[in-house]
Amino acid sequence: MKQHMTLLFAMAWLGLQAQTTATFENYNLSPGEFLNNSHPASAFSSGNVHLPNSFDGSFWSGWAISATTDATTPGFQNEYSAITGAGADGSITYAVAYVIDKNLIQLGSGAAGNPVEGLFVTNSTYAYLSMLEGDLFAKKFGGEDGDDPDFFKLTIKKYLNGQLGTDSIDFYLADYRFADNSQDYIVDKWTYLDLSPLGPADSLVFSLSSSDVGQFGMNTPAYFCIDNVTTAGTSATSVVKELPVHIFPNPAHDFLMVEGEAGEGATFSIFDARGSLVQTGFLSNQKISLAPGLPGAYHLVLANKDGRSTGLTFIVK
Amino acid sequence: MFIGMGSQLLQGQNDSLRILPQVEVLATPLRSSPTGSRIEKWDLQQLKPYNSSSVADLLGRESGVFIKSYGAGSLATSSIRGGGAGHTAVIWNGFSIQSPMLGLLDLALLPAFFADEASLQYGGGSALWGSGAIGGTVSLNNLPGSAGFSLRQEATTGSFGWLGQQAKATYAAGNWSGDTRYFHLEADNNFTYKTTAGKQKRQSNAGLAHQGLMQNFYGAFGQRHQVSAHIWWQNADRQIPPTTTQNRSAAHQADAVLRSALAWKWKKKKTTISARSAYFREAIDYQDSLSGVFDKTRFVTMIGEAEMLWQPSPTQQLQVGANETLVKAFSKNYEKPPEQGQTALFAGYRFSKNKWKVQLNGRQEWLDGKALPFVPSLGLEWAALKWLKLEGNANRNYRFPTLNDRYWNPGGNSRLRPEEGWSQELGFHTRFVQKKSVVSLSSTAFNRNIRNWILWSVNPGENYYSPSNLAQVWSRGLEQRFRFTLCLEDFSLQLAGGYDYILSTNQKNVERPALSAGEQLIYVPEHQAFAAVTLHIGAWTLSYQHRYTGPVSTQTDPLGGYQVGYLFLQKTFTLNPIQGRLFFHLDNAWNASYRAIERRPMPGRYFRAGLSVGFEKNQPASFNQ
Repeated sequence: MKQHMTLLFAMAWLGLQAQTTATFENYNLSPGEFLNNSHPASAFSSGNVHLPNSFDGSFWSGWAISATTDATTPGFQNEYSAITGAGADGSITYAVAYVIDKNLIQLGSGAAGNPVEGLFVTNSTYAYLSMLEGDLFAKKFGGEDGDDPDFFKLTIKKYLNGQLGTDSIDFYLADYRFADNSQDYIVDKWTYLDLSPLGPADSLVFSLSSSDVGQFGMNTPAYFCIDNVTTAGTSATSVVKELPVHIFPNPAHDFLMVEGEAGEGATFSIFDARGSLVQTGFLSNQKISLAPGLPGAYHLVLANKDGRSTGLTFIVK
Repeated sequence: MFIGMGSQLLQGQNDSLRILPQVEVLATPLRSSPTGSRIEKWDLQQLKPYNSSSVADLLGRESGVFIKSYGAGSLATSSIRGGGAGHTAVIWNGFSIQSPMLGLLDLALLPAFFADEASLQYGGGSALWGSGAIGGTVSLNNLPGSAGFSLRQEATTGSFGWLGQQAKATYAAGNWSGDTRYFHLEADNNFTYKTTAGKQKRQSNAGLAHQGLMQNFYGAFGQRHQVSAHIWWQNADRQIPPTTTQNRSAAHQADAVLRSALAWKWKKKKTTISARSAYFREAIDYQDSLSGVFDKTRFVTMIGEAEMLWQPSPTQQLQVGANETLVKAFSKNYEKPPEQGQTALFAGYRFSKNKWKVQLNGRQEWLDGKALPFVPSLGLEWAALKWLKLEGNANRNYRFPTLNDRYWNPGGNSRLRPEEGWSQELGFHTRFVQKKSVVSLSSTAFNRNIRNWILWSVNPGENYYSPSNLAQVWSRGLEQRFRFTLCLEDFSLQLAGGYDYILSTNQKNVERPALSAGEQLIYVPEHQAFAAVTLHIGAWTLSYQHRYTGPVSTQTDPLGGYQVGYLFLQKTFTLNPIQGRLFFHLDNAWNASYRAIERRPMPGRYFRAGLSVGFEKNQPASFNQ
């Protein structure tokens, strides 16, 4: 009997801790296509992760979903391609990050609070060729004589319960700091990053830094690509269920009312247009009191206790 | 007015051309030679060595202007008295010709050959010329040539595949005069340069081909009426070379320009009335086959201006005028082609008595019907002694946002306020004239504060660049000039020198772009100096100029200072009826490795040599002033 109980407990735990991998193949893109407008949702979703997207006609930030294959054309007109020309493991689809300040990956309600196992990362074609060849705005890594100790670094941190973690994982998308120039490299393959050392997380925060910095910030194109984000958690659904809600007033001033199926105690997170978390809390009396902030466009993510979630965009006047 | 150092290199050169009395269909003297302002001028003779060069070369060698050159023949903009590229007004025959989209002009595309007279007025000139004249004003004028007929052709060759040809025909008969000029320039610009570690590299994709045609007509009807017409067509195709940290470039840019102007003047004893109109059309096509970028931009400018000058007595001049400018631009980065209307009323008064000269000016402008700040100016001159003159001015200046500032998508900000502020200058000028020599020495101090300086940055909550009135810039400095000229029979010697000390600092902390309060603006050298010697012996001219430009900060790493030497040798000759000159330029004579813009190499030592031949058949001038 004791053995049975142990087995049952173990099976239950395994079920709860099932891994989910976000492959982005759920968007069914054909090679050469990309998606850069998640409207009406404010994020792309795959597996147990949400990738916020801000798109307004000709400019965007956050994440795009891509199946483009161009690994040779330099410049921003080819901003959606990975240097590998395909997703990890030869898959069709992957995600592209364009980082203004920070990019966020929000974990679905099933994965939130659990560690993220890991993901695959590589350079975008735009950033890769810019670092390899240089362009009008950014330098060729190594500089004029190949000896400059240049680098292009991806830093990943986590949020848990609204707190930014202190630990981080650094990954060099390009590293020219070696004394022996023959060891210098720019990543051109999908590389697995083990993110489990970060521990339990509600969201991941990605930032980029480069040795090529000017008065206006980083010169190196602020792009990278990810694929196969593996999360652990209690839900193994590959598509997060939408939570039908409506918010008003929009534009808002100091509060938002939530109508629909978001219940008392549902969690909310508010992100600014650059994907930075600016406020988090619990829904009370169907109302969200907005923290004082600058006017602009914001993104609200609501997650019900039953695991359903949704994202909505609103304006603060 | 103080006519400054002018050409250090070639003054005193003999020439048989006789210039007709100026047909003043250009701006009035109150605008072209304002009291109390430091002005440097170059006449037709002084411009000759620059026949195959640009106004950028002229200003870079002969004035205190810092030229921000992206390389031989590439984009060149100016910084005058610590201002930005958009703070230099460029005036052609009285019309502002900066791009309304960018608020500036590429000085490398202005052929000195297309000007008969050039001047540089230092300091604020908004009360005279309107928006943009904050750092200084560059004026290029066309003037009628000698009576009769003359034809001159010049051919130049030089390093890096340089080939230049210019031709100018001048003709006058009765009350009519005209000139036609044509130029063609081409170069590979495949020069070698040294990397920071001293390795030799060769510049690539840096070729250029320019050609232009200009037609000027001048006419007089009776004693009272004068008219002129000007057409300037130019086409420039330039490859855009890679930076020193870029392996290759396949970009090129084509600039096509059509500028036309008509002017009429009626003159009585005390009153002069003039009316002018202009139509400009410019097209820029940028193409990069590597990245698949193909951008087309176009703009059209139409200007109408009327002026009246009244001289009630020899000591007084009063001027009033109005200007209407309409601009329309086309770019895929505008949601719809923006149209911009500018209306201006301006007035000036000059009073001269004994040793004093005073000038007051004011200009009120409206941009799309909205009033801009009223800009007054006051200029003073006092001839304290026979050899000493003191002069100064104070004025308010502004630059309104460019079309890109206002309408670029994304980011354009139609609520931007104009940059505006006050500037002052004070200087003395001494001039000791002996029987065969002249010594002059001058010193000018200036001060300028500009608020609402427009910068592009990423604002919180946005993911694109947009312009804001972010910075406040305080510019101040000292400009010193010295010249000694000795003239003997068949021999003259000229020594000239100058030193400019300029501080131009941002006064407010700005997060993006990263600017700290008190920090010197990028690409504004604190120190610039030059020394020049010119010898004329018979038909020979030999000049050498040495110029020092101090270190500058840039958007990334600082650039070190540099010294560049320039040698010019010329021999004139006459083989009746042909008059000619042979000339040789040696630039960067000491083969300095330097950069004026980060990651943009400049060529080492290079030469140009050429032959100019022409003949003229003079007739008495018949123009009436």
